Amino acid sequence: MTETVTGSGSGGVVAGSEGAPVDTREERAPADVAQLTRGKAIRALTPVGWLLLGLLLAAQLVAVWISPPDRDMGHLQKIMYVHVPALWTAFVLFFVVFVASLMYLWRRADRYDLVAASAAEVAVVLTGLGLVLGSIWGKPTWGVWWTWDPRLTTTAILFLLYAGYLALRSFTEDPERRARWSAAVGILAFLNVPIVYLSVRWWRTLHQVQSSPSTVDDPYVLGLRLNAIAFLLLGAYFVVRRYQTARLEREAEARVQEASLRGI
Amino acid sequence: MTEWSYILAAYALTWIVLVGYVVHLGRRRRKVVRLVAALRSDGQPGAGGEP
Repeated sequence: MTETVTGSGSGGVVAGSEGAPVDTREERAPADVAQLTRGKAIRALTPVGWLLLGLLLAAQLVAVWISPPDRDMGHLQKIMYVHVPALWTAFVLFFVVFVASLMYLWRRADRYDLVAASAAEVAVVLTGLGLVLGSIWGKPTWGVWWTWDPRLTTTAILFLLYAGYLALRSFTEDPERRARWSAAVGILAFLNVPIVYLSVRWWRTLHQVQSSPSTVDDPYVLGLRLNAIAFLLLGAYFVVRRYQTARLEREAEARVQEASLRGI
Repeated sequence: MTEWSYILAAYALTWIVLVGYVVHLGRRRRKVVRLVAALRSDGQPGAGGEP
């Protein structure tokens, strides 16, 4: 039997062998309505989230404080500590979308679809941020806000592909069809990620090669590492929070469908 | 613009986006929690269970 679980972490709807939804929420839902609607359940951030935001702020302060001016770019190099970690985290999350999409097509379990959707949303936000940060860095360094450099162009295409993925999800009402189509797009769109990563080596144009601890000088390594870790942890936290919300949204969707099937 | 104004703009934008996403997450979460609460208590949206 293919099991499809929707709803909150405390219960859900399990699709039976004929595909008819079987409600198991009553025996698996310890959280009552009052519990659900008060306290940490409705907060955007838990203490862990605040801690991670604080960690990111501390990492940025340390990096800005300890890094000397770059020989060519001067202090503008400090933009690296937000631009690079934002895009690294986005790439990791696109990989999560890819794996979760494969898992969905293999196992047909809703949780993989929701993980992919949650990771894609956070990754699109970070890619958009990374693009604009690159533009802010590019203006004083290259003299232009935007140029059709291969790295910039492939990153913009990546952003549009996954924005399309999110649009596809919002336009498709049937959850099963939405999950299947999204998984296909999530897998195909990921093909662009290695192209983006390697574009600076394949086409040596304006954009510098990847900034990483192995390509930057020693005084910049600690700041880059700290910010990469802080961004990655915060990105993972956002995905978890978004996933929890997505499960509740799926539960609401399932309950509304049930109600309409019953003719309420 | 001086180089520090670009740096300041980059860091300010980063925090605006991060805080904006947190606000978005919070709004979305509150909305669905209330909807689910209403559906759990009465089987249809808006029929009760509001905090």
